[in-house]
Amino acid sequence: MFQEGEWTADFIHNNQKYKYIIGISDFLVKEEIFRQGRRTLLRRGPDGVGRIRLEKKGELVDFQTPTDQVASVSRRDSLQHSFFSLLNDWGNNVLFFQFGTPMGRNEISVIAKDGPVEFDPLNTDRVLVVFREGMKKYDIQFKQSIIFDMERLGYFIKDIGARTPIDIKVQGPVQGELLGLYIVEQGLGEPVDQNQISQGMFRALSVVIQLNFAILSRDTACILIDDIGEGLDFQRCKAIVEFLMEKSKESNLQLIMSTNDKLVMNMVPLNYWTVLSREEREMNIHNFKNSREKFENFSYTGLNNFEFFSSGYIEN
Amino acid sequence: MARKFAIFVEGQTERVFLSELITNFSGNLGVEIVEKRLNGGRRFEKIFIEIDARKIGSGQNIYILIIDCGSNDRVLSEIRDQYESLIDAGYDKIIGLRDVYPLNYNSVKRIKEGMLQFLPKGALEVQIYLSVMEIETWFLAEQSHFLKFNRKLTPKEIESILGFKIIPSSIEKHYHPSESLDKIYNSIGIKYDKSLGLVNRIVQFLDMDYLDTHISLEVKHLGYFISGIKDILSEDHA
Repeated sequence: MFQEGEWTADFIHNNQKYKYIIGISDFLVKEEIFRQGRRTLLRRGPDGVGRIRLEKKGELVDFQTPTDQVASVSRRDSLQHSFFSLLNDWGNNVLFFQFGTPMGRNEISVIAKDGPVEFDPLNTDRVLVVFREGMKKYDIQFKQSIIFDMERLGYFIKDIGARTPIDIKVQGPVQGELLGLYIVEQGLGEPVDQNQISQGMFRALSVVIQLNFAILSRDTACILIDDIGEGLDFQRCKAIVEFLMEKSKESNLQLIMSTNDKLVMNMVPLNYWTVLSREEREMNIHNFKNSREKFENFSYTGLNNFEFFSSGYIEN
Repeated sequence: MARKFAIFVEGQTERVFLSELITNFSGNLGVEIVEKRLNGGRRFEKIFIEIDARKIGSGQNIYILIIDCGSNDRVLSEIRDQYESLIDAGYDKIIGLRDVYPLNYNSVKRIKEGMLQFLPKGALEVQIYLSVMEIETWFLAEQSHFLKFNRKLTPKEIESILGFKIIPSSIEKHYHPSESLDKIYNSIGIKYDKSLGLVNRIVQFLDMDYLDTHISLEVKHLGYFISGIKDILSEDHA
C-alpha cells in the first residue's frame, strides 16, 4: 500500500467507459470509487463503509471493508462483483520488460521429455518458452509475424527456432532437453544461437516474440517497458520506438514506456507523456489530462520535447 | 574589429535562401559568411559541419555564421544551448528563423508568446523570426521566378494549377505552401524534393530586390525578416 496519494484511471473496455478513483492517506484507503459510465459499482469512504453493486440483484447494497484494504481487490467475486476482474486482470497481466537487462538472453531452458512445461507468459525472461507456446498454438503465422517485425526493426532474419546451443556444455545429467533460441540471418547460412546474438538484437527479438504472442493470445495486452532503447544505437532505438508506437496503434496493445533518453523523448508526441518528478518523498505526476493547458502551451514555444522535461517547465 | 552575428535556421532551404539574401544586401560591405550544419546531438555528440565559407567585398567587418539546425524544433533549443558560448566568442546578436507549419495560422501569436518565455536573456540579444507559414510562402509570393524555370508558368497558369490566385497580401494564410510549390513544379516535370540542387536554382531565380522593395511590403513576416537582416548589415562601423 502506498503511504499517500490520489489516483484516477479511465479505462475503455468493449466500448464501455470505466473510471476508477482511489485516495490513500497514511497507508489507509480514504476513498475508493469504481464506475461503469454513470453507474456506480463501488463507492466507499475513509471508514471502509460504502455501497457496492450486487450483479445478481442489479442493485447497490451497503458494505464495509477494512480501511487498510483495497475493496476492488479484496471483494473480487465472479458471481456478484465480476466487474472487479476487469481491473485485477488488467493489473495482473502487465508484461513488464526491463530493457536494460539481458531480457532472457542468458537463459537456456531444460524442457522435460514427458510432462507439461511450466508456462508463465508474464515471465519476460523465459522467451524461449513463450516462443514454443506461440509456435504450438499459432504455428507459421506466429513465426512469420516475428520475422516480419524483426525486419521492421532492421534485422533481416529468414528463420527462427529452438535447438540445443552448440557451444554450451552442461556437466552432469540433464533431465530433459537443453534448448535455446536460434536465428538464421538472411545472407548467412548458419544458425546463430541466442548466446551468440548481440544483446541489442536479442532484446529486440525478445520484445517482438512476446509482443506477438500477447497480441495473438489475448484481446488486449498491457506492455510496460522500462528504459526503452537502453544499449541500442541511434538507428535501432529510433526503429524500436517507432515500431512499438505503430504496433500499439495497429492492435489492442496498451503501451507504456519509461525513459530519460533525449532521443526517445523527442520521438514520442507530448500528448502521450506522463512526467514524474520527485521531491524528497513526494512524487508529482503531470500528464496531458491533468495539465492540459501547460502541455498545449508548450507546443507553441518551438522547443523540442526534451526541453519540456529538462527545462522544469511543467513543475513551474 | 568585425561584428559577429549567428543565425539559426531550421533547414537547408532556409540556409541557402538566407545566404543568397545576405549576399544580395551586402552591397559594398565586407562580409564573411560561414555556413554550418548541425549533426548529432540526440544520441551522439553534437558536431557542426562546415558547409561553406566565403567572403564578399573586402575589409570583412561583418562575420555571419548561419547554422542549419536540421529541424523546426531545434532552432530555439540550439540557440539556448549555444547562448553562453556565443557570448564568450564575442557575438553581437543571435537571430533565429523557423516555420509555423504544421501549426496553423491562428497559432502565430501564441508561438511568439511561447517562444518569448524561453528566449535566453542576457548580454546577447536574441531575435526570432517566423516564416508564416513556411519559407515556401516567400517563394510562392515571388511569382516571376517561375517564369525562369519555364515560360509556361505565368500567373494565370499558376492560378489554374493551384485553383486559386496568389495574392501576396493574403499568402501567409495559405496552410501548406511547399505542397503548392510542388504542384507548380510538378506541372513542368520537376519534383519539389528540397534537394540542394533544386533549392539553389530556385534561390538563384528569385528576384531578391523585388522581394525587398515590393513583396516584403505585403508579406508581413518576410518584411520583418528582411528588415532584421538589413539591420545587422547596417551595423557596419567601418
